[in-house]
Parts: sequence; C-alpha cells; structure tokens
Amino acid sequence: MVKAQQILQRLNLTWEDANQISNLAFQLMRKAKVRSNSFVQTKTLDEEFINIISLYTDIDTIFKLNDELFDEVFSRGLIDIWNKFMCMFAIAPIEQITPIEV
Amino acid sequence: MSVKARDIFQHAETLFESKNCDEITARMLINRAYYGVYGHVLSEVENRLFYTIDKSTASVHQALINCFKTKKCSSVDQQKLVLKIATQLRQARVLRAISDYELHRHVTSKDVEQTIMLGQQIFEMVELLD
Repeated sequence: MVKAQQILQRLNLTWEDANQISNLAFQLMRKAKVRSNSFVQTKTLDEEFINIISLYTDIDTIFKLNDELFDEVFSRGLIDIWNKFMCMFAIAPIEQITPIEV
Repeated sequence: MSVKARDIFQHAETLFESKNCDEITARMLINRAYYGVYGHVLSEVENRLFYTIDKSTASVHQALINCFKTKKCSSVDQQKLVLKIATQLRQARVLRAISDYELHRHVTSKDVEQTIMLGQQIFEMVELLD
C-alpha cells in the first residue's frame, strides 16, 4: 500500500484520482455481470501505473468492457488521470479458478 | 528492407492456433505481435503522420505512446481516436512486458488472442488518422 502511494505521488496523483478510474472499471464489470478472480495485478511502466483486472469471460466481452471504460473516461474528462493510471481487463487463466470444496 | 513490421505481426497471426498454443509459444507470439504493431505505428508516425516524438524519453516504447497521448487534434473524433490508440498501445505493451519479463505469471493463448486483436484494431485506427 505504501509503495502504491509512493508511485501515485511520483505521478502527481491522489488516491481519489486512482479511485475514480478503478471505481468506473468495477462498476462496468458488475454491470456486465462478469466474475473477476479477485486478483488485480499492478504494473508500473515508466510514467504509468496500470491495474490489470482478470475476468472469467470471453475475449469479445473483454474488448467490449475495455472500450466502454475508455469511452466513459473520455466522456467524463478523466483523460489526464487515465494517461498516468489506467485499468485494463484481461482474461483470467482458467487454472486460477479456486475449486469449490463440497 | 525486405520485411515490414506488419509482416512480423501477420506472421504471429498465422502461427497462432488457440488450441495448440503452449505457454512458451504464447510468450513468443505476444512478443512478435507487439513488435509488429510497434514498428508499424512508429513507421506511420515518422513517415506519414509526422507527430513529434520526444527522443529524450528513456524508453522508445513510452516515447511512441506519449506522442499519441500528447497530440492535440482539431476535431473531437480525431482526438478520441488518437487517445484510444495510445490506450491500446499501452495495453499491448503491458501484455508484452508480462510475457517477456514475468516468467512466474501464467500466460495463455487468451493473452495472445487479446494482443493480436489489439494489434488489428490499432492498425485499423491508425489508417483513420489524418
């Protein structure tokens, strides 16, 4: 958590900035009724911080959700934050599904 | 030059078979697909679009992405397109970085599919830029 905060500070972002993007992503995910593996991967690349949200779904849904997220960010004028802090959806490896014990 | 960047991408597309793609093949295909996209977009920027690339940026990949992030367009449609290309380049770059450097993570044929579809869309969008 401290490390994430340091990265956000370096990018001149606040938790509130990051939460605006993250919340949009999770809202879209819930609206689409798609299950995540509850495991958000973070990736820091040069001037960017990226959250990868892995979902149990098909590739078309992944692209639809990524497109919707970008459209929402653009229409809400959040591009300056997005250019530093981005969320993206990807397909969760099926091996990561936790088996349900009966 | 006997080979174009887009040929590298198309070769990755041709080699990809989702039902016959082990992890090492997946990682290799993501790398090739990404570099095909990167090389093609860079060529378009340098030879057709003439966007400004900040050569002082430490990473050439980040420099290419930044030139789309910072490009100012006169129409909203073109502006959105430019920013979407930046976004999809970032997504493809992340998938490539994971497949090349993060060997502990699980990379699958679905990641190859996502990278190839990103590449196809980026090619189409770049064509639409004035």
